[in-house]
Amino acid sequence: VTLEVKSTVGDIEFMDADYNGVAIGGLPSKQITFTIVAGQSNLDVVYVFTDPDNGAGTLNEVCDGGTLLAKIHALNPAVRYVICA
Amino acid sequence: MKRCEAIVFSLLFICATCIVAQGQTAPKLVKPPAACVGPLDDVRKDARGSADRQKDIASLLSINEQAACFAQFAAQRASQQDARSSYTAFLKALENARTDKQAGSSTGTGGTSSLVSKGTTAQVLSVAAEYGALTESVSNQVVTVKGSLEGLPVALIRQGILPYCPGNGGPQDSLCAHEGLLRQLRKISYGVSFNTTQNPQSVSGTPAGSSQGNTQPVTFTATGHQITAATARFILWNARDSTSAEFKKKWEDALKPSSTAKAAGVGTATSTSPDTSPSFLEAAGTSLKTGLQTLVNSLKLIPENKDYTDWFDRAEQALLSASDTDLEQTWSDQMDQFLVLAQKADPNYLSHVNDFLRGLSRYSFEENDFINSLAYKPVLTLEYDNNRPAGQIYTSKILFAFDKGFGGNAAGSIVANGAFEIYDSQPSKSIPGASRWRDAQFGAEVDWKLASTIKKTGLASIIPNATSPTVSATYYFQHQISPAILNVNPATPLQGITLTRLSSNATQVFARKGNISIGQLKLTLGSGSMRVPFAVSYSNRTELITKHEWKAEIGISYDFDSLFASAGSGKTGQ
Repeated sequence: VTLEVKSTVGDIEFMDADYNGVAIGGLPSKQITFTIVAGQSNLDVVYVFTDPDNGAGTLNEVCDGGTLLAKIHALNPAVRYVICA
Repeated sequence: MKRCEAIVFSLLFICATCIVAQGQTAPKLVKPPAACVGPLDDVRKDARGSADRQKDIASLLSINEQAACFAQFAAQRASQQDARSSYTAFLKALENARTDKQAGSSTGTGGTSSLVSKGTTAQVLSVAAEYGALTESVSNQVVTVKGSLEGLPVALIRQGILPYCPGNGGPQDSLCAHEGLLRQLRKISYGVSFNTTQNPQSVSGTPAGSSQGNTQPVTFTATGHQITAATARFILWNARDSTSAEFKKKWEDALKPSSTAKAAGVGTATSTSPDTSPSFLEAAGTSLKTGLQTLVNSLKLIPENKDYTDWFDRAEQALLSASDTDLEQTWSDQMDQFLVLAQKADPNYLSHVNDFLRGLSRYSFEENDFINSLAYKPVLTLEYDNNRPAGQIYTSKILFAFDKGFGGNAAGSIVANGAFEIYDSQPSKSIPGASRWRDAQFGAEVDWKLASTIKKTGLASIIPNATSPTVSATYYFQHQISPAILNVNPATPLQGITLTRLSSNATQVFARKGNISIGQLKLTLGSGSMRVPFAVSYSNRTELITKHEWKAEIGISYDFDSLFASAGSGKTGQ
């Protein structure tokens, strides 16, 4: 699966990320790609913002329609997403 | 300091325990912590009963998704203060590894490759070793140490030794570094140049008694000139751009991952900008991620924490039923209940909260610092130089430096200097035309970073990016009001100067004064921490020699800011 950040205030990128305990390479970037494993797993993400006070955006899937998965706020740059498959 | 912090935290912990133990009388919410405001607003914006509102409430109540909000709420309850504002608004520090940083010495030290001064110096410390002379007649090897007054508190903050206080009117703590103070310290930098030429210190002897046979007692006196210059610099005018499209482009370019360090994964693997390294930010991001994992894992939510899921269901229902006016208080009540559960799941929960908030504060600081390294640029700087050349009257110089970027991505910059210099003591009246006013100076330099040119012309595959060359063309003019004066002493001859047929009672010698014009072409290789300038210059004369000269200058500088970054990163591998 490939996820991307879309910014609404300022600019946002993935600064650091782990999926299922393994660091995702190629960061910082606007997109991350990883292979989902069966069962419950964690995606731990740290975002970086051009506006550390008011920056905002959304986390989306990269696909037709680009499902909005979560909102992103600059004051909450470290987030864990629990993924079940 | 650490003991003080431990005491403060212990008090907070005890206070929080008391509050939670009282249970029935949960404190009223004074103001939602900063990280909770956005998620609460998201809920408020949704229509009551809508699917969006339910989704935003679920997100608001998830510590996984709102770790900063949960941690700040716990800290707020512990201290009855907004912990986020105690930790946030972090420093906007000086730049790490910018090409406009001048690490070497100023003109006049006898060992410099720079004809003009720039406004910026390293945040913590930089060291430069240079060989060559521009206006002087004798080349020396000079090592220059530079830093900014902000450097020390920033280093202590990055090491977690010194707490930080924001300048936004939040609670003030006498044991912390205040943003306002740091902002002022950031404008002041210093430099000391040492003459490391072989044998800069000499010993002279004078008879201390009558000779006895072929022996004689002597009193020895040491003369040393190791410190050749001291500099103080104050930034009068800064320019800041952190919102333009050009800034966003610079920000994205500077963040791009290193092709060698992070080849795996998606994203275009190109090198970082030669100007700015995100190493501090990367380290702080990794540290924050570890803090998040420790905090959330401490609650043992997996496979299932029944207390937590029960609380979540109750809290969700309460918030779904709450009106917009009751929303904050209802949420606050539920969060108080969560705090009880969290400490039941892990008695060290507040300790993890504290660690997470420390990581969050440092990350916020580094985010701002990284932005400022791209967005801030000193435009006008005032500099004071005290030059202490060996065998000469010491001088003081007041210099104004103007520095402005131009071209796409600010690939070019123009620097202009104007200065006047006086002798620290009155020269001998027997020297014709001598006065306290020594000289007036003007210099202008145009720099052009070749990185973008190399990319455009496809030379990137041939020229490694690590060299990131910058070419500079400089013109320097010096009007000598007084002639250059040398102090002479038969017992301690001047380094590199031989005087013959000098009168035995002469104590000062002077050269014919005149105007000095120098042109210089310079190529600076290196990026990030290390830079190596090579220069060739032509002058119509020097201060002592009235004939034209070709000279070469070379140097090396190392910016220790990035070294402090890796040392203080607290980086933990996963």
